[in-house]
Amino acid sequence: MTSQKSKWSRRRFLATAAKASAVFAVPQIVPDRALGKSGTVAPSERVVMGGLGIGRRGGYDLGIFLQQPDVQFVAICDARRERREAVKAMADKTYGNKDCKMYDNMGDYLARTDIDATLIATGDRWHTMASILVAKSGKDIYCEKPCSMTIAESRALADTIKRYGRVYQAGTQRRNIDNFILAIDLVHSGKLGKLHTVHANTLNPRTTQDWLPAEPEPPKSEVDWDWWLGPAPWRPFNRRYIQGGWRGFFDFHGGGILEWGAHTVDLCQWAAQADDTAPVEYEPQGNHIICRYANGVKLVMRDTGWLGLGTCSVRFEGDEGWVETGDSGKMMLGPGKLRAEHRVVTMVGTNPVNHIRDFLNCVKTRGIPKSNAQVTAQSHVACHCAYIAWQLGRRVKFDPVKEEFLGDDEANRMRSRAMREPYRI
Amino acid sequence: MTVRTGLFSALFLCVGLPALVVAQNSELPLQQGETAQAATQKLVQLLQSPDASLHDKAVACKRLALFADKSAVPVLAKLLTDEKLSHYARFALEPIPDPAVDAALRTALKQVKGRLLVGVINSIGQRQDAGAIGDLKQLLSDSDPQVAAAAAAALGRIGTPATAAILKKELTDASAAQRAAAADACLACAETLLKKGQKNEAIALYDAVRQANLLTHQRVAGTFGAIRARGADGVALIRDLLSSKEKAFFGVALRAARELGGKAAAQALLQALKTTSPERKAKVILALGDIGGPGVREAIVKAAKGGPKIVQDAAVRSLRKVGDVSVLPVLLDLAIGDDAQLAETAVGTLEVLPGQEVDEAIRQRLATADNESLPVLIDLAGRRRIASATDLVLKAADSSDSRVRLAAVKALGEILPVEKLDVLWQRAVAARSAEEKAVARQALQAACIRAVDRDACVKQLSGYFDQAPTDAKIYLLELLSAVGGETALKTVAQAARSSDEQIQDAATRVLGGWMSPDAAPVLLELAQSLSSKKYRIRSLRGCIRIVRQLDFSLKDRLAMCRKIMQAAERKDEKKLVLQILSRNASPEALEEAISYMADRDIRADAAWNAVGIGERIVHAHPKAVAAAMQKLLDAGFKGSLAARARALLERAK
Repeated sequence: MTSQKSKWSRRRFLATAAKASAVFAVPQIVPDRALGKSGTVAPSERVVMGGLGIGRRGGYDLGIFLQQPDVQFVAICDARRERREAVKAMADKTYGNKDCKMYDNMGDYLARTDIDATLIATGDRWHTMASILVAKSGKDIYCEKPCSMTIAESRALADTIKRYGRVYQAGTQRRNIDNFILAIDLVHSGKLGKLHTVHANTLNPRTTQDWLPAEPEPPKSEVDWDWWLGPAPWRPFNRRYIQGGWRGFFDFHGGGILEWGAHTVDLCQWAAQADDTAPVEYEPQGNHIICRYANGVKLVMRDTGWLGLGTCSVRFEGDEGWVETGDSGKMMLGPGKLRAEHRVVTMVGTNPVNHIRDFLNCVKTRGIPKSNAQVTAQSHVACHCAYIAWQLGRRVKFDPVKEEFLGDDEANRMRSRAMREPYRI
Repeated sequence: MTVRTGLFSALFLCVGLPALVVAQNSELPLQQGETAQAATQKLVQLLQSPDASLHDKAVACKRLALFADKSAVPVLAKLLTDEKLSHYARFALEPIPDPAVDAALRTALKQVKGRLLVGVINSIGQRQDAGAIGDLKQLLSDSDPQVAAAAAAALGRIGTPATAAILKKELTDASAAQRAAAADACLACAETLLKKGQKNEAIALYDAVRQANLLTHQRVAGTFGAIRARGADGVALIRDLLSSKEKAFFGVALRAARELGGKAAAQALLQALKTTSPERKAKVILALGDIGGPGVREAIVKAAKGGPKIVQDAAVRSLRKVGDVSVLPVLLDLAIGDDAQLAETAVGTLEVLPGQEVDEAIRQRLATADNESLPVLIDLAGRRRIASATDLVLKAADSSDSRVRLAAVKALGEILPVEKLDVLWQRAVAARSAEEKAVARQALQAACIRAVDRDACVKQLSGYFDQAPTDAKIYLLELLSAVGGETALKTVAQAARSSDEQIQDAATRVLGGWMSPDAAPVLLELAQSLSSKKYRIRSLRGCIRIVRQLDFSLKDRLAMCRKIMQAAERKDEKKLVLQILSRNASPEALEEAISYMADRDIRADAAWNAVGIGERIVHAHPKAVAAAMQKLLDAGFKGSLAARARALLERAK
């Protein structure tokens, strides 16, 4: 198992994130002053952006994109009129004009050749499909997590991004936040000794097959229900779904393992230098999933027993010490001698500012961002395997190269789901 | 009320065959007592039943996807023409590993149109059915562009030399929209061929795409594939593209160079440095930093020394990846130079440059630096935690130059040993300026949290407490919380009993955010003994937070819940305890919730809580849920609560 970042030193990790944080208002590659055009960014260095499905979290992301002087946000595409109008208002207010264009169908949006990159913050059911369509239209992608609904979607996502040479950044911003970076570097630098266990904070995996009661469908101009459903199976309209109540439904949501595991399992993969693989064994114990990598390192996905350092906690244990950290930025280390490695971190784990800067810099330089499609696909595969084991209520073995479960036909059939027509990956 | 699986649930529950598997967490896989054959038979019957709801049929298809064999195919095939169920039928059919499915899908090609036909084609593509190539080829000329595009995609997925030939022809002969679809399919097809070891065929297909009449991004994708498929031989293409006038092709050259890596790719980039514009040169330098290799560091250092600022900036950043001690002089010169932005970039690079020689060189510069360069060098000593520079930084902390002093105080937070905390404490209490005081307090926190001997650190901090002014005491309490540990907890708990309102306020607040479970009993005790109601409630809420979030066994957590319930004076806190039970849904938590029905304040809340828990665990613990719901119903609840309890009882039974 290898990691693209494993050769970096702790200082490199820290400095990369710290610099991104410190200079977030200044584009990394072409600073204004360097261009000799104070206050403006040359058109050739501007990233023209649009958005797909921007709700609450997407609005938070968008607010940060809009603060970047090298970003010009010009279009919003959404199945809901009120969301289109809200995002347009946000962009127009920032720029003091009326230029943000609204799209009520994806075809017209995707056909625009002047848009460099797209912020995708739809519900989970659309993340892969939208990313693939956007990539195929020649645009780069910043996509909120979880990024896929199945193992097959994870693989299709990574393959398509690679095929089209696009820059893809999953919204797993903790890869660019100092306390998580520091914790991981403690592992990579050997300060914890030989790594034996990594722990990922996940939530209750449960989802339901139930349908909410049918309600009359609103006019298509208000909510395009067919489009909202996208590749997910058809079901009757109910307003609760479109108001954020889609979570917990199997067709729309990956459950609690994907919800937080997209972040925390992803960090564990990085810590275990397993960015190019996944665990080979998954055993559900209640809501906890005990996983094992081929080299014997254990990955524990659990929703209880944390030290209270904030949401999305992770813990790494080696034979000479341990570290635990979470969204508060706080960190606990043991034994005492390891505390010498501690640094004060003030940024909370939900803040994507460094991550967005990493993405924009890569869009301009064609670099590879931290949460690129390859590493994201692998960590999502690990989450999906765990979710499948949990649904089956039994231990499963997995071949990460072939992406096949060993001797378990039922599990193998859960690796993909037929998409509703006309969608395909 | 949600639509639940009705008829199908009843069907699988009456199977009555020996248990082969245990699936507790989802209703889709085979359940206890089911065999694949029997379950398939029942679900197929359900699909044919006029009484079954659409929802039941939908769930039946999702279940069949997991375990059905060819016996389910005829009934599912019939549903392919059903507007509402066609997708669900494909959901079931796609994963069934039997040629009967391929035959059924091929037959359906002639039975459906429009979107449903697109769906069937997509499933054929997903199954990579080479037997359908002839049919798909015909569909390429379908009048419905979505159908034609789907056929192209399916051929691409099948990925054989035969489909490659068909798709390649489409690239030249078809309409613009269909050419785009064919190009996408060609890219997928080429990948499959490459995986099968048919490299020449894959290269030919990539070349066809990059040379076709297509939009730029597709030609770029073809070019990217052509380079990757060629491997080291692709460097020639990279070399050409680095001088392309089109931004997208220049970009793909950078991307491909990073992906291929190696000496040849680096040489192509180094060559481009000689002729390209400053803007492009900056990007080439960043790519070189990612690749590395012979001659790269030297070229980057040269660029860092002078020239267009944009290039210098990129060069300094690239040295973070390829720099070593040899680049120290140029970086130090930039770091203490006149250009603030380049200086900041250089400091960022110096921070991460590997090697103890770098530490020593910085220390030496520090020893002889003037006030202009001192702040930067002190900052670096802090960032790199250069312990050998501590004495120099301590001396600078007394400088009359405020910039030097502030930099030194900040740096001391990173390098000062615990036994010298006094230096920072003095400034944290009585600095020369408010700014210096704030910096000193942040530095003191940084120094404390990295103290190896936590108790020694706490002892030293506690020693300051009695003599400190009130604002400093409050700061100390926060500091103790950040350090943590048993001694710190005792000190803060003691402060919570202070007669000084401000101290009590700060101490109870700090305890409420404590990061270890041992604070829970301390807070509980305060909640029962403090004279101020406000602080009793705050303490109890702090205790609830810890019991809710931190690490307890289920048994200990529930025991703490009981104690909190007994201590709670208000309904609000009791309801928070119920939330803890919900978060820990289990038979034990359910029993606890039922027992709280005896509390008149929260009788109904506890009952609702019990139903909520019961609904979440009924799959796994039907007996416990049945017993709890029976108790709830026996307690005489009416209305919607009783209805939900009764429904749950039925499910449990």
